Amino acid sequence: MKIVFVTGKGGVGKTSFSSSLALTKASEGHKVLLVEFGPKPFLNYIFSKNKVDKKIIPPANLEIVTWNYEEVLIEFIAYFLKVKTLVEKFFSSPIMKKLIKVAPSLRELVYLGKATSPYRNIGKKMDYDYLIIDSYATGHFLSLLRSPAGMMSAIKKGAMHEQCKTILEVMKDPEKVSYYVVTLPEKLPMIETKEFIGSLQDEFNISPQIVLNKIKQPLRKNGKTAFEQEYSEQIGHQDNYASKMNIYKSFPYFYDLKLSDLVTSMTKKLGDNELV
Amino acid sequence: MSLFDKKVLIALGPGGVGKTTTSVALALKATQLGKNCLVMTIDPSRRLASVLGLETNTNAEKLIIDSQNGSGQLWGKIIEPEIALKEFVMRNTQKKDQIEKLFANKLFDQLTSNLKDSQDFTSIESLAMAVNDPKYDIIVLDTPPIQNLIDFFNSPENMYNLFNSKLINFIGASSDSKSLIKRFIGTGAKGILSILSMVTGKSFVEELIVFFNCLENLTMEIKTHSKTINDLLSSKNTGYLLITEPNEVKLQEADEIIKILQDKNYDLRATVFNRSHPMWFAQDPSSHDKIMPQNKPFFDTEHSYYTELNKNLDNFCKQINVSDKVIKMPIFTNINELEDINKMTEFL
Ligand SMILES: Nc1ncnc2c1ncn2[C@@H]1O[C@H](COP(=O)(O)OP(=O)(O)OP(=O)(O)O)[C@@H](O)[C@H]1O
Ligand SMILES: [Mg+2]
Repeated sequence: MKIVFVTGKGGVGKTSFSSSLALTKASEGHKVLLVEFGPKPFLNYIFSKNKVDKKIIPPANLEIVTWNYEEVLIEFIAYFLKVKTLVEKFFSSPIMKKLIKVAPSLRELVYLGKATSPYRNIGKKMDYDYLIIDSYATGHFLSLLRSPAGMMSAIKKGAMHEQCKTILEVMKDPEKVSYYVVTLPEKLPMIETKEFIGSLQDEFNISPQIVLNKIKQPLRKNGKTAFEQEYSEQIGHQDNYASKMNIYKSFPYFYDLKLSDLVTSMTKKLGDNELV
Repeated sequence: MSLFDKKVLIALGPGGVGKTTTSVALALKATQLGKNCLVMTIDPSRRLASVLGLETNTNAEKLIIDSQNGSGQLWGKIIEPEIALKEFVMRNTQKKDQIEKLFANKLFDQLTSNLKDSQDFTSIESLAMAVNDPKYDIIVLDTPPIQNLIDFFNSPENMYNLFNSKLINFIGASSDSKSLIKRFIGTGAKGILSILSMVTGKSFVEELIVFFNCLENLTMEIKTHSKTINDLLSSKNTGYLLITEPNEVKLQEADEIIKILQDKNYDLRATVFNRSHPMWFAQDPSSHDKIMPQNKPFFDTEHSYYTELNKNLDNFCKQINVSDKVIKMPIFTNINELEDINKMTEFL
């Protein structure tokens, strides 16, 4: 069992890559759970159980789920309390409802708690070979990772403290969890990715894989028209950035307008020469 | 009507569409029209902060460009939720001695660290503060990525609820957490708190009680403030700018945002579709004949791609029936410096 977190700046292709990775792993025969954090579902742009709108019908060994904060929280409380009436009492309290909305970093902890639960032997059984998580964009992702340690320093003992401790242990274990950072071959995204990876390494000793997305082919010849000039300028230093970092996988720019088509193209490319 | 006849412009949109950059461009444009403008942003990339010459970790406004040749001043501010939330507490209570206690509470620390909810709240709060400053003709607020617009608009309400009496009364009042726990045994809170303590442990509940206890002693006057915020959001002098991208997902998100704004009767001044097309796409097509034959396939691919994309975009605009201004922002290759952002202003 392997937990995979996918992150990266907004709009770089996290969802596309997570979906392609999930499809690839499933096609290799693994049992896969593809997860996104709610409340709003986005994976439904790509996948559908029925044949609609050229969407992808997931194979039987690929499950897709949107984790909803409140639902996951209820699931956890229920797991710990065991007694159903207690759980109902807890969540029917209007005070509790308000508290849950504003409770410091509870949402982050609940998501991480759920993601790491198979390794901590708590909660509902999750019997998968891969848990692929289309996660938050980089800034918010750091807050996500920081939440267990933050809570541990606030609450020095007790169940909450222990939970956070084991979550953090799992998150930092490269045997159990791997991280992918999706980025673009442009100046600013590359600089920011470097800084982000620096924080991951310094604070958590985590070394993520880098996925370089939306690479454009260079023109065959230099030309003087507006199109040729602008196109060349756009891809100008692309190769430079690509060569400076240890890239796990690169993807070309796909000229697909539908996200489901794009994921199909990306999955094909990933299957071509998967490196793992 | 111009985009700039409002005192406040709130830039909304899904994440990752260039909202901050567009907000800065908008502010620049306002200064070109001779207005003194403040642009406020939260959690920008560090690069952008340095482009603007802004430092993080202060919550202060800074003059970025002074007025020259009839243009106005450009001011910038990075909203620091941690500092802003503390300032909010200090503004709203007379009991200075209780403040220290609250700030020292570990859970308050957690609450103020860069979390989504406190980002939403402090954004709106900072706007409400700045709007009273006569220095500015226009204030542009770059909001955090919208996950849930309703939650965003409700964030002051939610936060006030936290700081407000009901919750605190329920938890109880006494400075000693041990005796507090004892007191709960006799109150309605007992059940809930003892359940909570079964799940989270006793020390968590103790810290929670201390937290609420600090809050109660502050007795903040924020009820009226809540109305002020709502008035500001729905004011005639407040306009909204939606920034999105012309892809499937972001268009759908834009659609939802527009519906909420219409529902609330908030004034959507313009919708910016960022990265709609490369520059060459909108330029004189006659030069396309001179493209090298070897490069022609590249051109054809891109041309039909952006043609189709813009067809979808036009359909979308018709469908949602935004009689409001539609702005198609081209793709700029390098937006690294303030000068680059300046290129965007001619499209606004
Ligand atoms: N290799 C690619 N070539 C062309 N377009 C791409 C590529 N990868 C992703 N895109 C496009 O970029 C946009 C964003 O992709 P995606 O939704 O996967 O990104 P994301 O990182 O999940 O975004 P968000 O931060 O909003 O969740 C989509 O319109 C998608 O079609
Ligand atoms: Mg996504």
